[in-house]
Amino acid sequence: MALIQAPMQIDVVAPSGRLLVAMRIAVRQRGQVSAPIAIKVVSGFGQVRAPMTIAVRAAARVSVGLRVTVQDSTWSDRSRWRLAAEIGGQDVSALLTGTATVEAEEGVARIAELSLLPDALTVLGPPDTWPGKPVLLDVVFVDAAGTQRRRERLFTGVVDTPAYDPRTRTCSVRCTDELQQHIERLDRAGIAAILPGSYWSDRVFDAGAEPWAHFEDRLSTLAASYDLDRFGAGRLAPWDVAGTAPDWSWGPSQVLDRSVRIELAHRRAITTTVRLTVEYRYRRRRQRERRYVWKHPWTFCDYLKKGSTLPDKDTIRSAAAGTGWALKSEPSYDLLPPSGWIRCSGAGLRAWVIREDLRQKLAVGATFELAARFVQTVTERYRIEVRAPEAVSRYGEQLVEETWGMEELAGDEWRFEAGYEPPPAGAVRDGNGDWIADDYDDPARVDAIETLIARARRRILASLRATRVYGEVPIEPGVERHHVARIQALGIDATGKVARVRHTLDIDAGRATTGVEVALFVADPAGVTDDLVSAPARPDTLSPGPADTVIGLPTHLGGLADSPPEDPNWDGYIGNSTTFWPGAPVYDERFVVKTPGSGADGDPAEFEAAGGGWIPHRVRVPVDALTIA
Amino acid sequence: MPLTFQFYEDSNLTNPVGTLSFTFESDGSTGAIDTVVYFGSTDGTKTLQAVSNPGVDPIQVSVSDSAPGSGQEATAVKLATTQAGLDTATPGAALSLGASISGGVANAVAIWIRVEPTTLAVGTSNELTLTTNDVQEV
Amino acid sequence: MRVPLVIGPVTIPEYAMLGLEQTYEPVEGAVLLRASDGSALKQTAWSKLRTVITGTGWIPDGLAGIDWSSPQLMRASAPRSVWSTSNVITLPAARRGDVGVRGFAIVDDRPVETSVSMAGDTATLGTVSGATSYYAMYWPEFLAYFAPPQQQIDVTGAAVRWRLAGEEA
Repeated sequence: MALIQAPMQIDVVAPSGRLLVAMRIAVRQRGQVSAPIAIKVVSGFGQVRAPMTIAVRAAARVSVGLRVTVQDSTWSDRSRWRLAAEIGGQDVSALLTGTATVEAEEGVARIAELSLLPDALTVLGPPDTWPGKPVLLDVVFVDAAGTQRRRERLFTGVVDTPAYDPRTRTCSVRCTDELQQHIERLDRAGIAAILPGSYWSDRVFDAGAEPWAHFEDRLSTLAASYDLDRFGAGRLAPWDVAGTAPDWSWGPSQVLDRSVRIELAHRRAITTTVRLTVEYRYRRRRQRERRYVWKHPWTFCDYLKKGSTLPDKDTIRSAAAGTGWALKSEPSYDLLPPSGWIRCSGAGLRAWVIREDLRQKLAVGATFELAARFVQTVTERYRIEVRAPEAVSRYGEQLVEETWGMEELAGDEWRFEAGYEPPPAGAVRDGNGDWIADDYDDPARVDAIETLIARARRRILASLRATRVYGEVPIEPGVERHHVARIQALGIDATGKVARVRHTLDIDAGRATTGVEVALFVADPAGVTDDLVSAPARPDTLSPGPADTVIGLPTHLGGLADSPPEDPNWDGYIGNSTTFWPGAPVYDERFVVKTPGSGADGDPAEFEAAGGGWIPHRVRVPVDALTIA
Repeated sequence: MPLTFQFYEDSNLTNPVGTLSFTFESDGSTGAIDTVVYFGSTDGTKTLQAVSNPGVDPIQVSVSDSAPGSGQEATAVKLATTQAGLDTATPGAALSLGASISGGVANAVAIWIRVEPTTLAVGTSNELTLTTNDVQEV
Repeated sequence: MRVPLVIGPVTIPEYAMLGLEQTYEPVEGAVLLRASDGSALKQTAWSKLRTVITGTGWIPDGLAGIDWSSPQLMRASAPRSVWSTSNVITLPAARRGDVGVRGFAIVDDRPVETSVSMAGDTATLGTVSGATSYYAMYWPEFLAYFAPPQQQIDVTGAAVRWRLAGEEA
């Protein structure tokens, strides 16, 4: 409620007149005077924070130097040299002392031995931390002013064994190129790829072998060596280098005095001929089927005239099934004719009555097929003679014999599980009518025989390269085990595959030399060519015919004038004529089915390839040039 | 604090690279030389990213020449993540290694390098460096 | 002209080297290989100098304070020389800088001194007419490991003999 204000103005006028009271009345509109008030309710109060992290990081670059050296390929002065080495990425050239050697022998890891001054402990740390550190060893050739002109690699590998002598504080390290670890990093496919042309069979070698053993197995089928070169890259080097131009040729003015040696082969260590006998034994699953046919010998008219007992269908069937062989299918039977008029010659029409159910029960003929399964062990024998005629003419026949066996004898039981089963898919007919399925792995047989032939070849060739010529020349870093070298000095002229390289660099004496040993094949060359490695063909393992698969069952009837005495060994139907001849023997009525059994086909059989003779396989000897004058 | 990410000679990150050395014959008989280094950190808790836009901009490896115009040039070097990729790599081009690289031996990145000298003048050139862009470890 | 001998920090006083002899002997890791036909190939891994200095004088040498386990820089008193048919001769870098190079022209088999101007390691000798060949003489300077000197002192006669042997480092 508002107040209506009526301000009063009172004029007090001097006395004289009327008292006037002026009034002013202002009338305003009624209402509410409102002044809007906004009230905000805030939950909580304080400072608003936004956490900020300011990280100051080293903005850096990761870098390594790339040093590119182009060296003068025409620089040939080798008279001033130095050794340069890096261990674990650190240059230790200034720490090398004494003699450094690098030895590389065929089929073995390359070994380097270095001696280091005591400062090596400061630069590289304690010697027990060195194994596994990468090692590079180079020889550097300098000019007269000492400037490096050429740098050649001698060795790439890792520290294998450090040795430390606390008295003199010198360290020596033995380093290896880790050939074995290089191979162990490969899988089987990788090993096959680095050894092209090699053979492998799980019947000859261990299928679960480690990579290194697998590699050695495969290499044993090649006439070659596999080594790492001076940079650590693998190379397969065949031994056959006859006729190849040599990569290195050293004559009397390079080969050092009194360094030439020749080692001639011992005859007893040579193999010229390997006789391989390989036997492959496997399961031959036979399914023998026979068709039995029985027919009562009489015509129906005879039957009407003379009468005979007849077997039941059931009797026949149980006789067939009771043999132990499986019934291929239900037998088929010939029955007596149904009731009716029968015309027989000389007797006119006769009436024939038979009760239908009886007619259905009896049989005058039956055909059924029985089958049996049994297993035969078959052995195939292959005789192969791997021979190097050129070596035989030089050394005489040095013979070695090897016998190998392969088997496929395990397998599921071979029998009818529940009644007859047809022969398996792929079964072949033997000459005697049996269905045969062999547990035979032809690719495995071929692989195994070819692997054995290849192994025998390597064995022969390895023994024929025992002649070695050795010579020492001034340092030649590039000589590798996959090169061909010619050494000519002191009347000896030999060209062959490098089998061993030994670099010796003596800092104290200033002497840097390389010893090279070449392997030489020695035989009487006669133009023989290699036979291709291939497995001989399988011998014929089938039986000859004839296939006698139908068996006729006889009938023996008693009670006839000419009936013989009963023989318990009879098969077929044994019955009696119903018109008895007095005094004739009466037989026990029965139906007998005899099965032939497996006979000789159940016994193990052996077959020889190529009629049992030695199948020849010739090996050519790649004779190297060797003159001894 | 130095970075834990480095170039290593082996995939197990045990041997750090000192200097990569390549030697060629002046008659050109040495062809291209291929080699591989592994870039990573043995510290599995670290991740490497580019400084410019971490996690977005790629980490790049390139060849820098401290003396362009003389000696060997950066175009002597090709980089790729596989040896086969070297055949199609552009000489002197940078190689992108992704926006971030995690630490640990399993995450190390292989970098294949092919060097073919741009000049066959006899001499040793130390002016080339294999380097990353500015990177930081998180 | 007397060229003072300096071993490390010590300059040997003149009265300690009234009589002085110095031998230079090459020491090298080198071998002469013979091939089987007799051809020779020399292989050198390193080549350094060995020097033996003997002095006589009235006063001792002054070398007692030197640390002989470290290599000392020897500035030789005895010169070596290089002969050439040309007047431009390249000298080894291991040379004293404080004592210059002397050049001679051989005229009629007799040495005639001539001027020398050095540019780095190359000495260009002044040409002399009638010269058949030239030679330059220089005083070597190199770091060497010395064995402590041997001294023989004649006390009453006041004579000192000393001997110092060392190999280039």
